[in-house]
This record gives sequence, structure tokens and C-alpha cells, in this order.
Amino acid sequence: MDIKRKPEFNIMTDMLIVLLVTAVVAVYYYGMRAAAVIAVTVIVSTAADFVCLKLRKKAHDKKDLSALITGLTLGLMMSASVPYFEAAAAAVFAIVVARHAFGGSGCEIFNPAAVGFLFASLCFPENMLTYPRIFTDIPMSSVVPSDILTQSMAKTLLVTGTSPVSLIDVLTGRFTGPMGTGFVVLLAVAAAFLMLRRSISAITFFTELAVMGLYAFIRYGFDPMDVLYFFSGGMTLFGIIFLSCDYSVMPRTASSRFLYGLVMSICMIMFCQYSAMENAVVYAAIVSSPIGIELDRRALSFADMLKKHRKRKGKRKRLTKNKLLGSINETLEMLNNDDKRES
Amino acid sequence: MSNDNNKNNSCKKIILNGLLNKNPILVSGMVIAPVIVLANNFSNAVMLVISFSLITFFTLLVSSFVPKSIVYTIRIILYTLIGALVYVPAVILLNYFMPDGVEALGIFFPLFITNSFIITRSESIFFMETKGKMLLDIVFCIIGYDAAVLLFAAVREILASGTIGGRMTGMPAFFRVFERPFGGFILLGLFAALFRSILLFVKRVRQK
Repeated sequence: MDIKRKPEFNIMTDMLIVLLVTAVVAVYYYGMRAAAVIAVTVIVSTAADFVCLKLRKKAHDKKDLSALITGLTLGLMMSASVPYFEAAAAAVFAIVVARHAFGGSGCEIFNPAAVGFLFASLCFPENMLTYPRIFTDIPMSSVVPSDILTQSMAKTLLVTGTSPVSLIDVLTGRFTGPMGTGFVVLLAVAAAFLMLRRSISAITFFTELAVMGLYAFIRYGFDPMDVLYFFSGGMTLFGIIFLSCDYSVMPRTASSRFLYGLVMSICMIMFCQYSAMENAVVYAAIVSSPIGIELDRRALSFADMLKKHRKRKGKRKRLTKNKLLGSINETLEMLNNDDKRES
Repeated sequence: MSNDNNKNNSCKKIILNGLLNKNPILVSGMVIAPVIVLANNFSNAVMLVISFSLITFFTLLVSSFVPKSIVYTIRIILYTLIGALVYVPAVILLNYFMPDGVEALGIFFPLFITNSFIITRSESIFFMETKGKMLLDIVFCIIGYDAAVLLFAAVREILASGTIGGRMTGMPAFFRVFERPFGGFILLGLFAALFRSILLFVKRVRQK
């Protein structure tokens, strides 16, 4: 079943609204340093997009908000204390390598924000994976003193198996981690809003949620609190909504969306099980997005094959029907002839 | 007079093809695996370049004596055997001068015996051109490859650790990702794209 797509501008506007609300919460928790980091990623990615379009001699589409979305997503995935230069480098890499090297907006095979984050976390792991506590006064200088930085809750959960954060803190995202990825209640509302507006795929979202939830239940001994930690820490829920359900890499058919969700969940489980990565969802999104595109192609070619097969079957049926009718007519004629002879 | 001019032109074409227009690594994308994995600093790149040049040049030189009448399949096997024969003195020579370097090259050093460059050059050039032109082509193709690898490794080292040949350059920030094959692959892709766009630009300017 081919699912009708909403116009891209409407999808982007919905995404932008949700990301802006999340950014406001991040600024409330981490202060003006968070606003500065988000501003850097947004401005740099928009500027990089503009420069790349100029170099490629392509006109800038005013309705294309993808660079803004990439910048915002990337900013929210970062630590509020990350040096500005590193945030800018990640934004440039995301736009130049993950978007324009593959043909620009709409042609990406990886989520640009995920690629930018991966690049920055491989280049500067010490700054990207240490976080300030919320409501801490973070200096506005580019380099933040390391004594106010700690490891994330997701890392603590990975190392010790438990996390010292209360339920209400987990639900409201009040724990150390990336700026805008931990507020579970807000993210759940955002997901519902985006699904109702058909801006993200409900099939993919629920497939991933179900499979990963089942895995988390088994892994953490059927403790619902740990399952909640699993989704809130390590950007899991944020990654499902904004990285894996992203419209630019989403397959078109319902069956391939389901399969894509399944592949993404399996990748995520593999990364969680066999590596000590705290942001496994980013790696899983990067690995599974080309598979999703390929699944789409396969599903479409399979549908074509099925159509042809049905057509052929229809022809055969018609032929046999004609043969049958022909033979009945022949017998009727013969009987008529016999009657005539007898009379 | 015109014959001399033609000769000069064809020689110039061969030289330019090897160095720029058909650069083995930046245009044809040949033998890139060792470059991506090993050429993450300048000293490794020097080792890579020396070993590649030694094995490729002598293998191609000896292979040029393989007669055309031999069947293609057998010819290819013969080239590989010649490569294996050249490998033995090459490894002894390099072990004598740079014992640590050979170890650093790892599996990629013996794999140079079967590199795609040997097969493509021997099959496309040997049976069409004279021995002199063939030698010129091999030499300039190898120089083109070596220059590209050295330049690439220098830029990669500057970006990844802010040094060149182990000396500090005063770079304000490093991107450690370029030390890894993942970063090397992306950087080589960007290098090739930049090189091709420069070539295209020069071509357009000349046409105007």
C-alpha cells in the first residue's frame, strides 16, 4: 500500500514547531549557554546550506526549512557545554557531507543531524559526551571548566545497571544528558502531535517503540522504571522521533515502513547489547536508513511484479472462460443441428 | 617536422594523463584501500608510496615482455606471478632500509602484488603503444599516484592531529575522526571531488 505524503513544507513546519518547543525547555534547563549552542548550529547549518547551493548553482527554495531542522535537531542532541567551534564543525559536516554530497535536500540517504553528531562525537568525545547538571550556571565562554561536567545518566545506567534519578525527574527530563532529548512527556506529546498531523510514520514509530520496549523489559528484568530510563536517557525516544522517523529517509509503502522500523530496532538492540555506546540510537539510525530506502525499492518492485502476475492470471482466466463458452456454443449448435435433422 | 610535433604532443598527453587527467587515485579511484587505511600520516604515506612504486614499476616492466599470443586468463596469472617474484627483493630491500615501515604496512604490502593498477595498465597500454611510451606512461602514472597520496596524507595528518611529519603546525583544533578509515574515506572523496572540479574549471577556461 503506497501511503500518500503530505507536502514537505507542512511536514517541516510541524517538525520546526516541535523542535522549537523542545529548544525552549532546553534553554529553561541550561540557560543562555544552551541558547548560544543551538543558535550556532542553526546559523552555521543554514549558512553552509546557502553556500553549498551557491556552489552547486542551485536556487534557494524559501519553503525548504530542512537546514533549520537539521541545525535545531543537532543542537538539541549536544551537551550544553560543548565548545562553539565543535558545534559549528558538526553542523558544517552534516550539511556538506551528509546532505549536499548526496544531491541536496530530499536525496539524503542518512539523516544529516545524526551524521553531524556522529562526526562530532568521534572527533571530540571528551566534550561531546560530558554534560553539565541542569540549572547550573554555565559560563558563556567557548570552553567550559571540566569540574562542572559529569557523565550522562545513560552512561551511569550502562555502567552500574541502575540510575539514581526519581520518576518525576525522568518524566520531565531533569537529569544530566543532551540538552533537549530527555523530557519524555514533552517528547510523547510531540510524537502524538506529529503522528496526528501525519508528519512522522505511526507504523514505524510504534514498531520501534514495541520492539525496543520489549527488549528493555527483558534486559532490565521487567522493571518499568529502567525501561523509562532506557527511553529517556541515551536519546532513545528523541532518536526514534527525529532521526529514524525523519521524512527524508522514510520509506513510502506501509509494509516497508514496518520492516524499516523492525530493522532500526534490531540495529539499536545490537548496538545496545554488544557495545557500550550511550547514544546507540544515532548509530542505529545511520545504519538502518539506507536499508529503509532499499526496502522501499524492493517493496515497489515486488508490488509491480504482483500486478503483472495478476494481469497474466486475469488473461488466462478470460481465455479459459472463452474456451468454455466456445465449447458450450459448439454443443448447443450440434444439438440444434441434430434436432433439425430429426424433425 | 610534423612527425616530431605529433610525437611531442603524444608524449605530453601521456605525461598529463598520468599526472592529472587520469590520475590513478583522484580520477580513476584505483588502489584506494591502502590509502584510506594506512595513509593517516605523512611518514606512513612515504612508506606506502615507496612500496607501491617499487612493486608496480618492476612488475609492469617485466610483464611487458609477456607475449600477446598467450591467452588472457594465463596472462593475468603470469602478471600475478611476476608481482610475487618482484615482491621478494622489494621486501628484503625495504626491510634493510626501513624495518619498522614494512611492519606498519601490514597485509597491504603483499596485496600490492595483485593491485588493480597493474592489470589495467598492462592490458590497456602494452599491446597498443611502443615500449618507450609504455614506460613513460607507467612512470608518470606512478608519480601521479604518489603525489596524490603524499598530499592527501599531509592534509589528513594536519586535520587529524595538527602536525605534519610529526611537527606541530599550530592548528587551533583537530578532527581525530580523519585518522580512522571512516574519516579517510570521506576526505579522499572530498579530495577527488575538488580535484575533478579544478580539472573541469581549467578545461572550461581553456575552451573559452
